Amino acid sequence: MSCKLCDLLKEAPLYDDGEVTAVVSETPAAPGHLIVAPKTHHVILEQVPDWVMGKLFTVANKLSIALFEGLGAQGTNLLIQNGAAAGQGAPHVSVNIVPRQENDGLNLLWQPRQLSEEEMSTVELKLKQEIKSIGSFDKEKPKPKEEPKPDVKKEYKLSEEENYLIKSLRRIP
Amino acid sequence: MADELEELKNMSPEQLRELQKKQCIFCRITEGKVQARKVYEDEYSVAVLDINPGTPGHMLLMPKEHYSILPQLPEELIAHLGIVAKHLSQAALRALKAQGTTIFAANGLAAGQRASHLLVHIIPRMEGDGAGILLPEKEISEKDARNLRDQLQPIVNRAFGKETVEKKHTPEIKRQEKAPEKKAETEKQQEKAEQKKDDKNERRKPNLDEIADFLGGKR
Repeated sequence: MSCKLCDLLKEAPLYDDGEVTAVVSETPAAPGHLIVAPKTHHVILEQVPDWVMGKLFTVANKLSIALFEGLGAQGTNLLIQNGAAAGQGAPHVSVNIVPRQENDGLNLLWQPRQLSEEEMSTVELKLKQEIKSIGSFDKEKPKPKEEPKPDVKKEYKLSEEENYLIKSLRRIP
Repeated sequence: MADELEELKNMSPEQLRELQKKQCIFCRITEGKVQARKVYEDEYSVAVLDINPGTPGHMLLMPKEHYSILPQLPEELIAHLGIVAKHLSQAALRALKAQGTTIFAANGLAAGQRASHLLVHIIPRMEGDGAGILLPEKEISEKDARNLRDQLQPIVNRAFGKETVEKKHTPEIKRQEKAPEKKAETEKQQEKAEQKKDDKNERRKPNLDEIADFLGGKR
């Protein structure tokens, strides 16, 4: 039930706009390592709605700018570890913003590989097949449905007629 | 060399941009002038397979316009790249049966950026794939974290165009300006809360009365 990141987001937000929240990392890769995450507890990236995803990126970018200006960072890395295989540590989607300095000794890069043309073609084909289905994006937050109040009243009237408690009470001899 | 520098200085921003486009391999890829294994394209962005992948299926997502680092991009484009990256990641999980993905971007040489065109890497991951990209975790004391937060707060606020209300230096007037807004908000909330209460009461009353009636009648 309890999520460490959920707690941290509530405890000490550096930024909070209702949908995404940013905090200082408790286990930083470098001093000033920030984390921005959706307020809603999403475990994997795929659960994050498009508009929240967009926000995560724009907020991460602004935090990145803040690190350039405020900490004199010479560079920044944005990093999402999606899934345990990618090193995701908490069951809560987050974007890491890591301030960088020349020769800071951090190596966040990968070892480049050389694949055969055939391997590349196979991967390309598989990906293209799946990517075809990427269609429209939900860039805007869906608006809450209007006229919620009349609905509530309707429900209330119905429940008045068919109230379970009343029904069961009727049966009391 | 000196002549070339002189030439560069005299160029208009448009000319400079053109020159940049000609010299940037990724601009030529987005324009289709250099062949690449393009896996995704929309109005604003293109994704290709990295020719030196960290893992098979490593994609490079890039804006069609030439930008070097993320802070130069318009906000909508940054959001767009985030959304597309998510969908590409999803596609990699499905198509390659990957167990995870790493999404990575570097701003600046110090961050390991090698190309002058902003790239978002989407790297499919498997347990024990040895791809690297590990975030070291260092310990930080609670006090240090708090100090860092206090130091960063005003800078972050500025980055988001918000004023930091500092207790020591804030003139009284500013506080007064902000106070009524807050008050109005809390009043609204209270009103709402009261309305809700009323609703609940109304809802309850008839039920209770009816129940009482029923009970009374039966007796």
